Amino acid sequence: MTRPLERRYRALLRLYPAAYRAERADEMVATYLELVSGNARWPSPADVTDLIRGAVRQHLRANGAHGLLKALPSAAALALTTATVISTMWLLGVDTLPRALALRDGSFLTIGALGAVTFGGWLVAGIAASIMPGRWGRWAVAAALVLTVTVMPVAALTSLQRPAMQMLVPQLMLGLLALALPAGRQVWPVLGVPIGALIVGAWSALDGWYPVCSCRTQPSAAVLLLLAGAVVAVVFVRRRDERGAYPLLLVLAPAGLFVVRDVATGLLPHAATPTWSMLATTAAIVTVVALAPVLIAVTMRGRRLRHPGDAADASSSSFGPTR
Amino acid sequence: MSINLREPSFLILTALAREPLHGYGLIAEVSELSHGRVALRPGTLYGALDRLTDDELVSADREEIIDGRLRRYYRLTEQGEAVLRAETERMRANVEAASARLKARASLRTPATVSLAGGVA
Repeated sequence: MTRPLERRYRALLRLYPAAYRAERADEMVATYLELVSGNARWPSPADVTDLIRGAVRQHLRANGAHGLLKALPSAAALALTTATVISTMWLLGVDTLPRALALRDGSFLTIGALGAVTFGGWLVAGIAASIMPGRWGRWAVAAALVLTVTVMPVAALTSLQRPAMQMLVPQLMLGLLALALPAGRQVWPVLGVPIGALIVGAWSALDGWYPVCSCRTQPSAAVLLLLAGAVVAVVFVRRRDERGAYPLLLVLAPAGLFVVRDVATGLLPHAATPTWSMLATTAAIVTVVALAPVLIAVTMRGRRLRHPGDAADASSSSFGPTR
Repeated sequence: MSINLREPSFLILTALAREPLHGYGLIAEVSELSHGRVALRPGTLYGALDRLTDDELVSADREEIIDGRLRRYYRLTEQGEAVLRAETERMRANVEAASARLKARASLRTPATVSLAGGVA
């Protein structure tokens, strides 16, 4: 008779591609059951996470997009470094007091006390990822993500000022990507602090009053992120590494979210200010458009794998060899 | 042959160097080899085995049914043995180079330490 625990492992294995499940399910369930101690009735959270990650990996592998999964740690390090750079800029350059900062389009920007806590959390995450093993870095990123999400209900329930959504949304996307940090310590995230400070210092020297405004901070962060992603992608493509151009494709979405306000303002008639709903719609469109190249790359790769005669040899693409 | 081995893959190949092992046996052996530092979970293990099999470094050896449960054993291929040897030599050369440099550094420091200790005393 099948035990409830075994049934539950088999239910989770349904997340895997059917062909893989047919080949490996019995063997994997046996290994999980051998590792279980005592009279456990449910798979542990660690096993559930392991199975979900394994299933995602196998679906990508089945589509020949294993390089995408392998590129995630590089993209995660870039994302956390950018989150650290921009948090440093916000903390140094924007008042934490509820005094508003005028923007070019006539609206106002402040990070308030809640912003100081949130962006402080991102600095801690960046530093933690550089001085502690990856697991602790990921926990620090998860904590910063929780802070960023809870800012909204906390601000609604209290009279405390919070950062604008245009500051929080790109940070959320960067944080989600940063959860894929690799196991080892990362050099780059902590360097985000001096890089951010240097940029603010340079702007202060050139433009004394309110050196930091979102009209240049966020586009600058987008450009920095894209440049870094492009450099990493060029290195991988030249080495014929299977991660190929994926690091660049993965940072397109957070980079796009940094310029949502600029895109929305550009679409409006002269001097008009975008409404909240227009910004939300623009953010959704930018995210879909930025994620499309990743989906197209994965789909094309899967097609080449299934119909090798229809296209040039997959190994000649920018996404490296299949294995 | 140049293949960039990550630590779990290196330990899996090392674990298979002595004899073919099944999933649970591999997890236990990798844990022992790394003194408990690398704790593979099955999803991660089988992902690594898939890649190593694709690279022809590992292959399925045999299957057994024990207490109604399937055990598939994996073995190191000749190519896997060559890659493991090459990687071990590369790491050994790095360790020797680092040890020599650290020894030289220590010998440079010793006279200064003695002099400082003498001065303080």
